[in-house]
Amino acid sequence: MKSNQIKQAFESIQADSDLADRVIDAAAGKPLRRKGHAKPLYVAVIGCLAGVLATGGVAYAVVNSSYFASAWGNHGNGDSITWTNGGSSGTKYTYTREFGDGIAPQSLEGAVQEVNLSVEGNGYTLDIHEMAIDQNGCGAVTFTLSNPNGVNYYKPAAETGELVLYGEEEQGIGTPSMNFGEEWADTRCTIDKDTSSDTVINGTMYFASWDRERDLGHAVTWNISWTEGKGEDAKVIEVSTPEFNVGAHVDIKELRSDDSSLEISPFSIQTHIDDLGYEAVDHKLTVSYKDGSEQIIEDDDAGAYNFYVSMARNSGENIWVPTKLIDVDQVVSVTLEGTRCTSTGDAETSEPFTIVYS
Amino acid sequence: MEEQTFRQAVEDHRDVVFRIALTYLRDRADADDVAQDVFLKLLKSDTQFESWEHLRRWLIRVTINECKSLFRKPWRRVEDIENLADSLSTAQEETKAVLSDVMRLPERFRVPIVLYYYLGFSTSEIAELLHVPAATVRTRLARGRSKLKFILEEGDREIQSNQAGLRVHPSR
Repeated sequence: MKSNQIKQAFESIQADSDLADRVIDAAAGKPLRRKGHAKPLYVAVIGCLAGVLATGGVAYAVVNSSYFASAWGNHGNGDSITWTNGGSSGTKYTYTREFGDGIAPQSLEGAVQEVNLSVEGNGYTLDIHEMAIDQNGCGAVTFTLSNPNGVNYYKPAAETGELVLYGEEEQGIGTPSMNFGEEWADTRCTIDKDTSSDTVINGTMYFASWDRERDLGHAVTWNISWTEGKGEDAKVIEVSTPEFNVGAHVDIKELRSDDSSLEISPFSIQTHIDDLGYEAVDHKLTVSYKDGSEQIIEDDDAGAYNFYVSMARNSGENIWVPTKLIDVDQVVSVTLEGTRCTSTGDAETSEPFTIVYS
Repeated sequence: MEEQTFRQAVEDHRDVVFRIALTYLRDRADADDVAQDVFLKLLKSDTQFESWEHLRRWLIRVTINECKSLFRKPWRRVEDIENLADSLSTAQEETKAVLSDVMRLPERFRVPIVLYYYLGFSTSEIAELLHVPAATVRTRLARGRSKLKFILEEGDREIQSNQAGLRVHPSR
């Protein structure tokens, strides 16, 4: 890619031609015509279902197989899915996502917490069932979303196992979200194809907090939202479950390289590549096990996206929530490969790096 | 501001404002709302602009501030970005692919890349706009380019650390 291609690409984007008229009309007192989702948020009174109480902090003595089968299985997608997208050279890139088998390692015995909370809004009911969370602030929660008049979700996304809803549509709601206290978590929802219907969606929400230190001390809520009204009067209404006081967090294990650490759990991997004193770009993340096998979480070159959540926290940590549970007790090492960039004055260098954490 | 002057300002700068908002928000509808809000602020502003360039830089600064303060979901998936590029441009597949690649970058790399390569700001100017050290801007540009798997041809612009004054290319 050449730098002038970025300029050309952005110059192909045009704003709407009626912008001046709209603004002048608004200044004259007419309602602003809003199109987006980024409206001020009006949080409605909590609309929980009566008689459903949290059982926060309760951990069970045995591995809850139904939870792991639902949350860490293949969601009816088979072993993997493949999709293609255009690349910057005009060629097509192929991506794959492999799924887990839903069988939990022994270390997760007692990790599942029953939530049993619900919220209603705009004709929908969101029931939150069970969750597991680790000390990285990552995990998964199972849910059912239902509406006797039909759940309005995006069918093409569901074909690949993802649940996407559109709250701005009439009788619609947004894809359910999750909060630690007042702060959003980064989430992704999947749909279990085999057990869902047009009116009842069974799914899993994968999540990662944006700030582990800030968020883990807070209770959790789950939310649905929708839009009411039009133009300047449009409001996003959000309703939330009662708070869930999280019990045990699954332990993380620290692995180290010569100059950096990494925290790994069955649900997530967190690296600190911004602590290395240079800008590092990750391209591949591989978990190696005692039996010689490997679990590839991400491989840009191969188009492998074996994760549900991947994000860079503002504080510099990178987080992955993989599609397959990690058997931490059997891990020998984690290998991070990427490109190291340094810039001093006018001089720039970039070179590949490999960090092995063990 | 007189209506005629305002209309000319919108005509000349609406695309820049929209494109910056889009870079932050990665959603056409949200970016349109921001553009609307920014120009409404302009219409109501009593700022005395020394030049058209002064106005342009004021608009860019206000746009960045609006985007930073907005209620929004900060993360979009690869699949969303492909759809976004499709909805934005009727141009060639290659152009859509470039947009997709840039939009996939995390915000802290994406925004400096666009300010530098599209708007032509120097790293010092970007540092001032984003309230981060110039050295950070340079490393984020380097890291963003690496993530984009840039192949910069010889003669392409090089990152210079101490550029002073305006070096803004016309955007339309």
